[in-house]
Amino acid sequence: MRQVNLLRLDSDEELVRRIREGDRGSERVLILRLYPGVYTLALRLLRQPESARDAVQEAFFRAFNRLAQYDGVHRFSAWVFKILINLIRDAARRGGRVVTMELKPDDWPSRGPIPVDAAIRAESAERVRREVEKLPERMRAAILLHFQEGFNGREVGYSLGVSHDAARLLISRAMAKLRQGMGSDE
Amino acid sequence: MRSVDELTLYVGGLLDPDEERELRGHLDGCVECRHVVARLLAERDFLNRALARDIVEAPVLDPDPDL
Repeated sequence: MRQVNLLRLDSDEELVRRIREGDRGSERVLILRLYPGVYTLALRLLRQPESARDAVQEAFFRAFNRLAQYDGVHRFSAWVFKILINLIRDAARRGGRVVTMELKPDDWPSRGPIPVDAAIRAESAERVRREVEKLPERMRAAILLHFQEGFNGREVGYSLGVSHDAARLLISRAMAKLRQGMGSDE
Repeated sequence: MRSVDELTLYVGGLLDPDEERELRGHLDGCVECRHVVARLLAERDFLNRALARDIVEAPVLDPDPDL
């Protein structure tokens, strides 16, 4: 059995290097590590769990099948997001249907009484997610890559296939729209 | 007074080093902009939490061939 070093986490890029040498185990680790973020973004863009799962599966398949095209300059996750976003955009151009996912009261976890301030924060968080859903696709992707994944302007630009300046503009315009939607006084 | 857009980019770490250096110089002398930055930091903290990744089920993968 292969020895596992529990105290050191290999970077995504180190795992990619091993995958290129034929290490299938590293491929599994990378998928499990990236899956939450990639699936969350897919779900927030497509709004339909089954479509999101399909898109994520296809994105990972393409990412590992086309590993020779990964430049190693940007984060590997940024490259996976780039593939995912292109997939979703291509499907939309071919007439893919977007189904709005409506949250029902049963979707909230049952935890007994919730303090008032936490309830207000939870409601505000739900409101902002709804406002994000209303954003045009590229603004929505930009804001999610920036806040959900912590990408800087260059990484957002790379994943969206736009310049750094264009990415920054998308983010600041998205923020302005969110503030407007949330009733800001700015 | 700098624009909210520019201060938003500053708070988000989205300015180039030269731009950031120049804006920091401005903030040293502008109380109004510093107040806006404080509010933008709170806004950013809220968005980071509201838009954090969902807790999702791990995908089902093929068995590890090495185990």
